[in-house]
Amino acid sequence: MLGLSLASRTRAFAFTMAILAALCASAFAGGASIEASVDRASVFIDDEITLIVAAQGIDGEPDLPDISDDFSIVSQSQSRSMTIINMQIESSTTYRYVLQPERVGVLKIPPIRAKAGSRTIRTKPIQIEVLGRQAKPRQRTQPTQPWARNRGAAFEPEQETTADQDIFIETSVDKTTVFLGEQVTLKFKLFTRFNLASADYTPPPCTNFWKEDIQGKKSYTAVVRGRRYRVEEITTALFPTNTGVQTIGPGSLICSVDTFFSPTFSFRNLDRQRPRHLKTKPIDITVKALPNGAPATFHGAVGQFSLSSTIDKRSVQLGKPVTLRIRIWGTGNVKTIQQVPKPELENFDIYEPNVKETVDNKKSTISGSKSFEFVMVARKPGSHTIPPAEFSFFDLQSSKYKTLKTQPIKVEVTGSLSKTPATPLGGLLKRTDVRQTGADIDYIKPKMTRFEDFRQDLYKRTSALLVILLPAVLLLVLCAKDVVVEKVLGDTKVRGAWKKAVRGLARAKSHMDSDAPQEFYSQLAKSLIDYVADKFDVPAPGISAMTVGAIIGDSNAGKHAAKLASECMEVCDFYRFSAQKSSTQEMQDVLSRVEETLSILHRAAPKKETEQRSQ
Amino acid sequence: MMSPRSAGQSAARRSLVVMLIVFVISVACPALLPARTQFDPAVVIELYNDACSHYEQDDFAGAKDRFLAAALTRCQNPDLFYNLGNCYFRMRDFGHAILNYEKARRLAPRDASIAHNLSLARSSIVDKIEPPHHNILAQMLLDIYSLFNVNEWTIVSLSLYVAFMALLIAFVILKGKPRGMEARAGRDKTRKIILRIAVIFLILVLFCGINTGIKAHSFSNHNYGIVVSDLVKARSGPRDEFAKVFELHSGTEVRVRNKVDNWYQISIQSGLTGWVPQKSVETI
Repeated sequence: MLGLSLASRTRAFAFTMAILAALCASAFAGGASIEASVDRASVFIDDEITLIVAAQGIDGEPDLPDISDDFSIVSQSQSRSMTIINMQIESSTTYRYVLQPERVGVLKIPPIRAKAGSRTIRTKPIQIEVLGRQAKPRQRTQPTQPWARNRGAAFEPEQETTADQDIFIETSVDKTTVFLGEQVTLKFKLFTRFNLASADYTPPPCTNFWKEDIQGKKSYTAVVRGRRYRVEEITTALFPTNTGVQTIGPGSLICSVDTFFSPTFSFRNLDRQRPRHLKTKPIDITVKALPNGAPATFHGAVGQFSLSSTIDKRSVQLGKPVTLRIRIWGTGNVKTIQQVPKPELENFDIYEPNVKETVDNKKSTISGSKSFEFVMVARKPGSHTIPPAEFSFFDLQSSKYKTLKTQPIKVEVTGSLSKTPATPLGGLLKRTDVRQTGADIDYIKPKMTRFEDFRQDLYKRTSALLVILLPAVLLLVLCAKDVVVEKVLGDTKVRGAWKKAVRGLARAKSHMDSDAPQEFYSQLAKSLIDYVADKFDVPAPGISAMTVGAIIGDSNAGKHAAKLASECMEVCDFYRFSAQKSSTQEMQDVLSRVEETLSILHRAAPKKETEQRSQ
Repeated sequence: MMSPRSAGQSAARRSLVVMLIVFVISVACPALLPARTQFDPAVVIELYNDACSHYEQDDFAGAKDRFLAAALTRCQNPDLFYNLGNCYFRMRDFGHAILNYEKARRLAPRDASIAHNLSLARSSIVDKIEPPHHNILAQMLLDIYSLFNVNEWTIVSLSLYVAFMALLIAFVILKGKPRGMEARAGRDKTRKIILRIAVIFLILVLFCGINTGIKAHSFSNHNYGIVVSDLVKARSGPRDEFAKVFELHSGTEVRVRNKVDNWYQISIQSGLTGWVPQKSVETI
């Protein structure tokens, strides 16, 4: 940029700031975005239109709404791309749908939705005006936007030659004949004399190759045929997985250049602002098979490797764990190194290893290491020897198989099993979630020895009806019995009480003429008390001159009877417990009052219990 | 004279004896009246075990025929229907497999294997019908409803009913008149507690009784069915001349609403209703 004038620099700075502001806005929007556009806002019914959906940071594919009433989808394609904006690289995916309108009018493409984490993002709806058939013979319409001319189904990539080019791309490999599993370094270079407004890079398809991206993009300047170019270089390590001639497909780049800010700007080359589609040539790689005679411990590792074996402690208590670490490191694709077999040790419990893998992809040659940590627990005390571990690989320098072997390791196990507590191995073992790998129905039920009938008719059986009826009948009987007993027994008791009272009065009369008036009054009081006790179902000892009025007063006999009974009891008590004599007339009077009281009480019906309680 | 306390104890003893009698009668009655079987269990066992042997030798068609023969005796055994469902599943006849798993589930609703296989068979059918969403309460009631089969619901309902009646009987027995204020107060308190417990039992009896009724009605009326034809066209009326309204595939559960001649009027969970030939749907 040394040749830029001050005005150009100011314009470039302002433009960069605007882009930065837009980038910041998109960053605050959560990093995920989706945009939809069409190459034309107006189209004839027999023409095609390209819907372009550019998505970044979304989960899965965008959800295209149902537009079958308005459009038919002629074809669809997608390309993952790397976008370079102001020399900042971002990855995005572009989905292209070539649509054929189905009817004339203003048609609408509803918002296209996509999921980004927990939220859903959507595009704005797009309106397209579809016109009737063209009067003249059909010609492919030119896009309204110059950059859009190269997009969509009608697009034919340009093959530009480097002769008069200010921008071109190329891919190259470091070797075209390799062994199976040997690294091929693929370099993609973009040569440009312009600033790029945008660029969509599609890497070359590498079927039958294991792909490992080399970190770090190189930018430098180079002179090609006397012209100075800025070069962007992307390096990829490829490891062939099949023998024979394998093809690295063409890579492509769709870019639009910014000639306005370019030092070579002139009105004559304004047309160069249109988008360019650049494509590289495919490259054939001849992959040779590895020679015969591979050792038994060879499992496909190609490169140059080293092997080591270490143990965390040489002396260990019985039942305690010890960790054996076998490490393989070197240049080559360490991801192809398979698990080393478990050491064969009779007196040890050896668990599945914890595998750690590191890949160094900062240099042009891939290197790395893989370690296997076996947790072992001794079952028997004494001196044990861990046998050497073996690892074979195909050495590219000598073009021969090589087998590496570690030294045997001695371990002293002390203590006795009965005295050693068990050690939990949770922290040392590699634990993984149990995942379902398939589904099948459960097996059939076992054979029968006794037939169990599950007939679902219990509710129809007579026994069920009996269970319902029996308690109900019992309840009814009990209720009826209660009523009957209350009625019958109550009457019987009262009748007995009356007879007893009559007999008591007769006995009292017999004492009227004797010299023992106390006996007369005692018999009279007893007759009254016993009758009240039986009639009102209260204990006899609790009845006195003071309480009898209250007991009778609560009944249907009325207050008169209560008063009479109280007075009678008082008179009886007076003559029973005093030395005073009473006349026959007085005795006759009390007797007739007691008789009157008893006859009133006998006529009166006793109050119901519930009535008594409520009172 | 009897003291108030001893009078109360006597009443409690009486109520206990009565409750015990009621329970004994309730438990003994079903046992005294055995279920009527219309088949020979020995024949069913022989067919069943023979079918299991065929299944173990991967002869699923042979096993199916024998299980089917055992099922035709009209015996009701969940293992039989489950195994028959397995045979159909292995033969990739998911409609009949689901039908038999459903029959097995009706008899043994808490069997994990039946639920697992039914779920797997349902995931293999063509028609995708989303189950209706219920709120928590409705889902809970539905889960409780699905917990027991008809017999179990009957036993639960009857047990609760008997307990409820026993409480009522105790309530009536304790109505006697103990002498003394203290005994009377104690009696009243006990009766109050019994009454409250009885109300709770009454609610439970009603809930379980309703569940039993619905289950028994559903069981005896064969309201639900499974599509067993590979493809069946549901029409707007019970004849081939009527317009086709939707299509169903094997294994889809339908509700049978009506029957005219050899046609069922069915509805599916989404609310669609149509008429299908009777042979294309088998009721559970």
